[in-house]
Amino acid sequence: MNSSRKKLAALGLVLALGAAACGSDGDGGAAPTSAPSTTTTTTTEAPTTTTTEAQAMELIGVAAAQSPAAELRSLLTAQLQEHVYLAGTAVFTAINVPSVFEAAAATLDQNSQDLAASVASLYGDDAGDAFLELWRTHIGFFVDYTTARAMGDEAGQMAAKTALQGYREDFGAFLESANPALTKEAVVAELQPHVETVFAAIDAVVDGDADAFDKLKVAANVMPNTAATLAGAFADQFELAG
Amino acid sequence: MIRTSHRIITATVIALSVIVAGCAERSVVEPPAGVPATTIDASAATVTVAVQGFLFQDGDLEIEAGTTVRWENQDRILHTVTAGTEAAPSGLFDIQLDGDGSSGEFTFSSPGTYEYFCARHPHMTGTITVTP
Repeated sequence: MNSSRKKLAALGLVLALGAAACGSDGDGGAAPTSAPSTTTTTTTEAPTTTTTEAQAMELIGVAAAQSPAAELRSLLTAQLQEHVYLAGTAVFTAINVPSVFEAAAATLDQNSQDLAASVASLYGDDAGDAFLELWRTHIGFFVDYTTARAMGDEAGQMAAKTALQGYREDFGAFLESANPALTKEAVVAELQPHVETVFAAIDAVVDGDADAFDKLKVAANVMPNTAATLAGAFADQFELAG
Repeated sequence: MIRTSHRIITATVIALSVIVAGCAERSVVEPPAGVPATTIDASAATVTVAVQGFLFQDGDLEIEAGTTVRWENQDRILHTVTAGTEAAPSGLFDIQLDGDGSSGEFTFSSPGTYEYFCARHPHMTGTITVTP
């Protein structure tokens, strides 16, 4: 088991114990007290697609999104946003629904593997493996931060933040090594909003703030810009059309 | 809300403790070089391993006793070349490669199999097999 997965498992253990320590009063802490009811209306009739509609879709740019560069940007956007939402889900379940935390952590790790596969498709399997290890490391630091926050350990929170600062340098150096257009300094700057917004979301989830999911959305909304930066540099390097 | 408890602290300490150790026997850090991946200079009995992309490029080698292995860092970040494994550093060497262009070397005098790794990025590993 690698380091970050060990930390995820440890987080589940720690937070489960913490939940037990809270007693069984049924107060979920961060769980919303008045979750709105949701009504979903499902349309069973499939829409009829005509040639005219297909042509219209092409005219408004759907076809343009099929270029290799656009596909890469779209893929990375989806994977990076998914990363944030799944990380938020893992933190939320660790605190509020420990029984499903392990499944949430596994899904988050699958997303990490998907991202690594994207990197490997461009730079080879060894680079994909190296990326995966680095990526899991940063998740481990966020786990450290979450654990420290949940325990009210300010020194631990600071240590995790310092570690993530160092991680950004590492990740920047890694990407620079693969693609000189992505300088280490540029990557460090690019990841700053990601780190800050995820910290804010974790704080809100751990503290049971009502705006926790708003903050998670803010964190996720940072990622398309990161994806565009990375995909643009990759597309230029490999001369992808579009 | 999660409350602090002795059980939490104990579990955390047990779960998150990591110990990394190592020490150097012989290492040389030299100025920038900028070489390609692994090269062998037979006359000087020196083998060069590039450290690039957070990997020891062609880092698994078979060499004769007395050969010097030189690692050259092409990443703009600190890597180490540390003897042993993450779980069990041997202490035979612990070379610091402080950024792009730095290098270090070690001469393998005795036959055997020598594993090494980067203490900062433990996924980076290699093995030197030394023959008589």
